[in-house]
Amino acid sequence: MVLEEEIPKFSAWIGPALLWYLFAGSLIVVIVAALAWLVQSTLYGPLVAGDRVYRGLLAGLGDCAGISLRRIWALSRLAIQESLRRNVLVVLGLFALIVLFAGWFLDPTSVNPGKLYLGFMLTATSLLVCLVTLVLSVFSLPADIRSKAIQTVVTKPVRSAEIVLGRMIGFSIVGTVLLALMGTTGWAFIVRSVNHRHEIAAEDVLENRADDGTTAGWEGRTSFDRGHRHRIDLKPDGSGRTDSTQGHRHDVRAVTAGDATTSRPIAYAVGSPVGLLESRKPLRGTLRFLDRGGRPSTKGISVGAEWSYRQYIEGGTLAAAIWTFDGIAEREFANGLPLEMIVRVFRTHKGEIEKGITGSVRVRNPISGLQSDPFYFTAKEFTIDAINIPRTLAVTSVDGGTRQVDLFTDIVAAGRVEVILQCLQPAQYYGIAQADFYLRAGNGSFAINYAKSCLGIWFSMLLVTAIGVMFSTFLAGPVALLATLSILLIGQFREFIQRLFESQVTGDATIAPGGGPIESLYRIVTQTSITLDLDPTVAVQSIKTIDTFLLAPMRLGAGIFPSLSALGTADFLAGGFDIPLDLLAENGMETLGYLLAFFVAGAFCLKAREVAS
Amino acid sequence: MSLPDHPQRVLSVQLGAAKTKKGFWLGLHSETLVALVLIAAMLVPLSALSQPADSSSPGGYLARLRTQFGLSQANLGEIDPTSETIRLATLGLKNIAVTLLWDRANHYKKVEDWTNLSATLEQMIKLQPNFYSIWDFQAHNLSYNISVEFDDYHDRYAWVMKGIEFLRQGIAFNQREPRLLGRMGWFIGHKIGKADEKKQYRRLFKADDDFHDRDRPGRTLPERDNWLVAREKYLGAQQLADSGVPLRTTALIFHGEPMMTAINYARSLEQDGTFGPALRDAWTLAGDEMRRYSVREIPTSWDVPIRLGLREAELTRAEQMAAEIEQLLPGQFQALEKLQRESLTTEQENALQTAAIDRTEAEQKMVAQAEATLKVTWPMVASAAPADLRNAAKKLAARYVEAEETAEMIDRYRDIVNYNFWRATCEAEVTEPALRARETAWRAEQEFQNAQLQAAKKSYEESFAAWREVLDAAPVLRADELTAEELAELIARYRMVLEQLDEKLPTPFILQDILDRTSTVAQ
Repeated sequence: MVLEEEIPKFSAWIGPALLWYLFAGSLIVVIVAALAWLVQSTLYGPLVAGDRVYRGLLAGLGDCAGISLRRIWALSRLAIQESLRRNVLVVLGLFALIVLFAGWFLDPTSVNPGKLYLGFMLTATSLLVCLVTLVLSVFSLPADIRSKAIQTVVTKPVRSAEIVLGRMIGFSIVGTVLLALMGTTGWAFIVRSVNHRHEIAAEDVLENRADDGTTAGWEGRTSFDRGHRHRIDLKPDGSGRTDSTQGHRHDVRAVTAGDATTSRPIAYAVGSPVGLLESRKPLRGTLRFLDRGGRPSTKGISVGAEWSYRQYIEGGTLAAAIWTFDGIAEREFANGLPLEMIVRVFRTHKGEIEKGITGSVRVRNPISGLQSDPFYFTAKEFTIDAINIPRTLAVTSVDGGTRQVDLFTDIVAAGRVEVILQCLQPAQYYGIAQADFYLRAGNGSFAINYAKSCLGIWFSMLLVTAIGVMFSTFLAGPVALLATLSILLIGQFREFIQRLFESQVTGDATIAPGGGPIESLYRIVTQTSITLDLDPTVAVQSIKTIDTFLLAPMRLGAGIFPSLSALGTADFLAGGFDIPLDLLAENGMETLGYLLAFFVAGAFCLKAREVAS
Repeated sequence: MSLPDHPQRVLSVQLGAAKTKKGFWLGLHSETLVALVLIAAMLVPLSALSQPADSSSPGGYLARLRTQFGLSQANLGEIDPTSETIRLATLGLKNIAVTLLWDRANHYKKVEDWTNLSATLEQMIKLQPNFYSIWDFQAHNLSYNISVEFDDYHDRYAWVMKGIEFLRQGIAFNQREPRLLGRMGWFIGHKIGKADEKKQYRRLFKADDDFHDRDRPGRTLPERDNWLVAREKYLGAQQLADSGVPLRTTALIFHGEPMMTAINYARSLEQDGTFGPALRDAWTLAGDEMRRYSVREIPTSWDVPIRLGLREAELTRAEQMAAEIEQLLPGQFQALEKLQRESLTTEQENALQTAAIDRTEAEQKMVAQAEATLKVTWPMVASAAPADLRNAAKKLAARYVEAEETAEMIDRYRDIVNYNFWRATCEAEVTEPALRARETAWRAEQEFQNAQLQAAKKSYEESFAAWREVLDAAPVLRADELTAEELAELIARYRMVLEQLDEKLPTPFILQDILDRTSTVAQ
């Protein structure tokens, strides 16, 4: 799977993150208080305004601090009842429809159906759950305020903070129940959809004979099911496996009437798909490069690909990619190091078309420099290839002598080991990224991994609910809906807005061509391509200036507002990798931070609004 | 209580509706009521415009237009309920959705996410199943751009076939679009038969039961050659075009594809080392296709259809016309020439007699004027004919001009597709000497690779002897540069064989003319 940014350890992440959060939170409080003071000053004069803001802050804090769990629960139950009254469970029917008709839209002949089905189900679940809680949260309070039903609540000894938190919790519970039901249904749908078997007909298998006439194995193909078939390769004893197609393979066993090594197979047993719906637990390392002269280099070679995720090393030279793995314990890897890898190939000449590009992998002691003899392999692109580095390794010394060493005694030093990749064929290249090589530390449960991915959706749902409730404390329902969607959209296009603003300020159109909103409109109307520079007329300069002012608040928002897609972990799940707990914990903390902020903002806004008047 | 003076209120009273004290009618505000009336009024023209057709009625204006131009979904191809559902679900925003999806597809291609790329293409075609460019562009993307991202030729082949299958879907949705069938033929022919991996691709294609079972069950192994399958597609496309479906591409090239595919088929057999009756049949097929192409009517930009094979016939017709005019007005052509000659000034005569290289700029102009004056045509002769014969002469002259112009037009169109060369090739390659020349040349190459030098030398010499016969019989091939280059390469390898045998190229060499020409070009 593609991992463009390294996931930091939670322990290393939390400290700076908390500091930054406190700083940003304090800054926002100060700015809001200053703004409130300015507004109040125009009405009551600076001294009274200062007093009112101070008292307001104290009251608000007291309000937040003095909340009662019993009252919150009571209000949450009201929110749940309100949701049920609004027939929120209808959405389950909609979800059932989507599941029923998903087969119309999803292509079982896709390159990787597992990834496709997972992506679809998680997206559908996320959209529906978030949409339901969004609608519930933004329309609830405004409706109560308009119908004056809120007076029956606020006239009771209930704090504003409790009203806000009660609704947030109530709607979140509704969303959680929906998510649990949809998630379970989705899981069953995915497992049922991707599971399949193949048959092997006797006429589709050919026997390979060795020069001495003995059976060297069998090769052939499986039946065509679910839009694909596999090539099979069996050993003389009748065991073997298929090739990897659509992201999976099957184990195959020839069934013979007598001795497996002497009798002809009478049938073939094909196992369930392997490689789909997995949860690999990788131990990742850090990557560095050596150039063609064997000198350390910060990066590999670019072969001109637009996407620079992978760097390339030249074959037949001293160029190498070196991963350093840390934290390797003998008890975890008692049988050796199960190395898994994805290697891209770039050919500068045709070479031998029917043969892949060969390479080598060696393991090296990072301290003593002792390295094993190479393990040779042929690159398989876009599939995960595996090499098991055994406990006992052959090492050839300078004088040509070979001796056996133990992996943990001689190669792994202080839990660290280096893995060196080289491409062996001159003028051909290997492309790799840091995440492409890892040690498979174990296998997790796909069901638990799926649940972890649903946790990401849950975080998103909580955020949507909190933002919706916060806006509904001072805006009408439709306006709150638009405001919430705007916040989410700005968060979603965070990177784009940041690049756009940078481009606008620096005048460097290559960062984000096309300009801001007004310039874009101008280009659309005049049919001017985004790659063309506009003549610097007064009108164009004015447009660019206005755009800068329009983009400034969006840039500020992009730095503050949450990005729901950043909370998603579907890529891990679809790629067959265990979702790291560090990532989940960081996402959880980020969500918690936003929830707190939106809760406080909502509580203050509701308190400032005299709803009972 | 006095009657309300507001006109709308008057209306509500007249209608006898239940009126509220604020002037509402049936609980509706007056503005709402007006809006509803306007909407109802607009439904009448809307109905006339967009009423769907059914068994008893041709429908509204739009439905009639759709029928007239064959644009209704049922006319275009298969109706896919999924596609219809998705298009409805976009609430008229399908173009925006497709633009976004196109952008996503480019992104997925960039980040090598083939699963999502395929899924995005599926969504795109569901939204715009009758937009030719999506099918063409994205099929090309799959077969040409994405396939090469894979190193294993099996994977490459699988992606080439994905593009071809993508086109098959497109054809199902667009059964009146011959271009898509043509593209499918092109992919099957050229991508499989001309790529670097053509040897592997052609082998995999023949063994691809899944494709052939889907495409035409019962296809025999020899019929599974990619060029023959491509030809089937082109013939299907031609059939469609001949049925009256508009062909939105260059007819000259489109109709030449079956011939080119048959030629490529024969060439592939030669490269595979398949000779004898199979190769003769292949060249016979190519000749048949060439003849079919020759007599096919091709539309031109002058709105006068032509047939490529009829150039010689048109020239003969022109000669006949000229002879008839000559018969009608004996000696008039020469007389007019003489008259024109006499009309030249002394300076013009002198300029004409001056050698071209010695002429001054003024003399060059005079020569140009003199040559224009001296140019006598049959229409000029007809115009100068006596009054009683003039009309008949003019008619003959007009027919002469028509035949001449048609021949010239055919000549231009022939040049575009290199018709003369391909016709000569089809005619020559089926002959016994040509078949022998190819087979011995192939054998010589094999023997050379296997270091059987004496055998290779003998085979090369047999091949050159056969080639001599072929070239002597086909002046077009003798003059053709590509043929000369191909033979020069063969001779170069023959020289290498001779060098290793310590021998020299015999002089004069049997293909000396070719050798001289290619060495001159090389110099």
